[in-house]
Amino acid sequence: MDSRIFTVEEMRVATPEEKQSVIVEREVASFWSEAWGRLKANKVAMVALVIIILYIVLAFVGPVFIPYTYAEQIRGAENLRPFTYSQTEMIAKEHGATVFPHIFGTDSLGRDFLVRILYGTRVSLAIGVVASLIVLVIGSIYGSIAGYVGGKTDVIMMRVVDVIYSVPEVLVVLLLQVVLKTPLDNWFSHSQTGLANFMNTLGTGLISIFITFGILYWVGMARIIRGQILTLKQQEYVTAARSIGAKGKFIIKKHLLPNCIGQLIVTTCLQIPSAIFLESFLSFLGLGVSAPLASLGSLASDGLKGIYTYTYRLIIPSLVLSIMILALNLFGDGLRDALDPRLKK
Amino acid sequence: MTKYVIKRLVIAIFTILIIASLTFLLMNAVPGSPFLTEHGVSDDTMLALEAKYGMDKPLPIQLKNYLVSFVQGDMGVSIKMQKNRPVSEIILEKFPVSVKVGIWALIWSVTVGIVLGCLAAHYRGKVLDSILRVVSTVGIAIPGFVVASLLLIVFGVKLRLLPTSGLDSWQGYLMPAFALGFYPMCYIARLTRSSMLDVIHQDYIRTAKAKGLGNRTIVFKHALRNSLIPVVTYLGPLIAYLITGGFVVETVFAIPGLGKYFVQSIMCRDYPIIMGTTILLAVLLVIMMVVVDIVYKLVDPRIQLGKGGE
Repeated sequence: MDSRIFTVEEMRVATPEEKQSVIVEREVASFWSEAWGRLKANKVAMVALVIIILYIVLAFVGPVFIPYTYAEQIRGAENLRPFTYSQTEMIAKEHGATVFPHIFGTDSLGRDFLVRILYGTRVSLAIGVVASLIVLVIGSIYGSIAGYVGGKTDVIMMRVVDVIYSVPEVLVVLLLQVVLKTPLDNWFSHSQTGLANFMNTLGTGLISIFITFGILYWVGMARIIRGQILTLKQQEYVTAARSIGAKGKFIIKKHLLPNCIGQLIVTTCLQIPSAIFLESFLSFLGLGVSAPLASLGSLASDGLKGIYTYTYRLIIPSLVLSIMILALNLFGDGLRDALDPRLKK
Repeated sequence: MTKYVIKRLVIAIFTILIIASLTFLLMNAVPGSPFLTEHGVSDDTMLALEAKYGMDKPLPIQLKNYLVSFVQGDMGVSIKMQKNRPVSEIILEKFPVSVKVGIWALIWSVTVGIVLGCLAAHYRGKVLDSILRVVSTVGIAIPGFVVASLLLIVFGVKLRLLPTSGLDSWQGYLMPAFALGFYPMCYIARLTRSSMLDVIHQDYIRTAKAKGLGNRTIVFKHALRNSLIPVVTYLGPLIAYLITGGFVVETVFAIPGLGKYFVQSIMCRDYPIIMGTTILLAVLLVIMMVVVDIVYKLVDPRIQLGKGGE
């Protein structure tokens, strides 16, 4: 406390003008606009965001402007170096036709490498997002039930999580690759449904990655959400909701999960790069996406075979992949700091 | 303490049993027999083969038999990669190669990671800290195969300084061990730095400063010990990473280790090898996790034992 003595003059009632000068005009900031403000102030995260947007645009819109497809094998244009043309293309050019340049050259089967890189990026991004959504759905439902119900249910559910947590996940992915291949292939060749056709293009490799995420990777999310729910359910508004007869499902959906939104978004975002990491690892080993579909990992794996003559075919996908994961990591970190300032170190 | 250890062990045994049974059942669920060839096999031969490998019995009995013989060290014989050679013999031949590379990676990543982390914390906000932060941030974003491939291109193909494949000389170990340990090194450096900075602000460090101890003594003698605890917790995931990372590194550098062999046996669906290796690696991992967990509790007396972790 201030120990100085106040004079009578200082103790008089403040005039309206004086009162006004103390009030700082500040807009009422919502949770989101505050978070956005913090995110915008984080330069690294913003640069990462720009890179991510650039990647998304290039991967999903870029191929439209290139007259080649990822599976198209151009006869006589095998193993072209960047910006070179095959003989037929040279002749076509001389006759006045415009031939779109092979900016990154072509691969050993005459497929335009740039388009394959763009498609590979698209596949990697899509895998990251889908796998993270799977984790989000399963993890948040499981975690919120365990946290809300509590007691014995919670103990048992968390023991299950403990066991799953100690299962080495890469081994399981590899195992599923082996096991799922034959039944899925059978189903694809017999079934005419749209789903089967769609999954056929994805290939067994991808499906088993999704399944693995569905059965193993959600445990981290479940733990985080359970922890959050455990503290949130002590709050008065939950008691209030319960006192007017709200059921558990309703409370979780309407009151508890919306209050974990920051955690949900951050954990999901940070899951994306780790899914891409895993996919590229598998594809590099030749176990991920199946030909002719390409991912950045499988492109790098192909590049390794021609490392002596076509070094750039290994370097380009590797760089594209590394920058993507780096940007996603940095953006995820920035998002965490913005949405949950308490976590900031 | 005992209660905690027992609890961890029970979970570990459960996990191992679940993994082993799952592996076995999944492998059995695969349609088609491993004995089928392009030439076709007569029904009699098929029955004889199934009887020979005990595959004519009901599944639970097969599972029990498999687990019992697995514990006794009999994991069956290879059916494709090296026909009729015992899986245990193959694993005994291949695994030490992987372990050697893994141990070198472990040693260098932990030591260098800790030293760099300390340096970064010591020179916080200076140029060295910034450089290390950039390196480690980039380092944990680069997949292992990218590091391995880049090393191969630069030192193996362009400069021709190091052998591109095999482990015939000590130079052969340099690139694989570096590539394998790079990611964990960066991770450990980050971990050490942040926990070191946490510790440095604690009271007992102020006391040490007040006593007039030198900066170096404080960092390396007082702060380091407590800031290493998070690093101990990372050892479990680290070993898991070294095993799976080994798959990639061994493929890139053509090292005749278990990882490369395992990937190949997956490609040609040599079930006994896949099963044996999966269960062995899983058991190894789970055991290491338990050991690390217990060591973690032992190292940090502040953690109350028996109350379970998080």
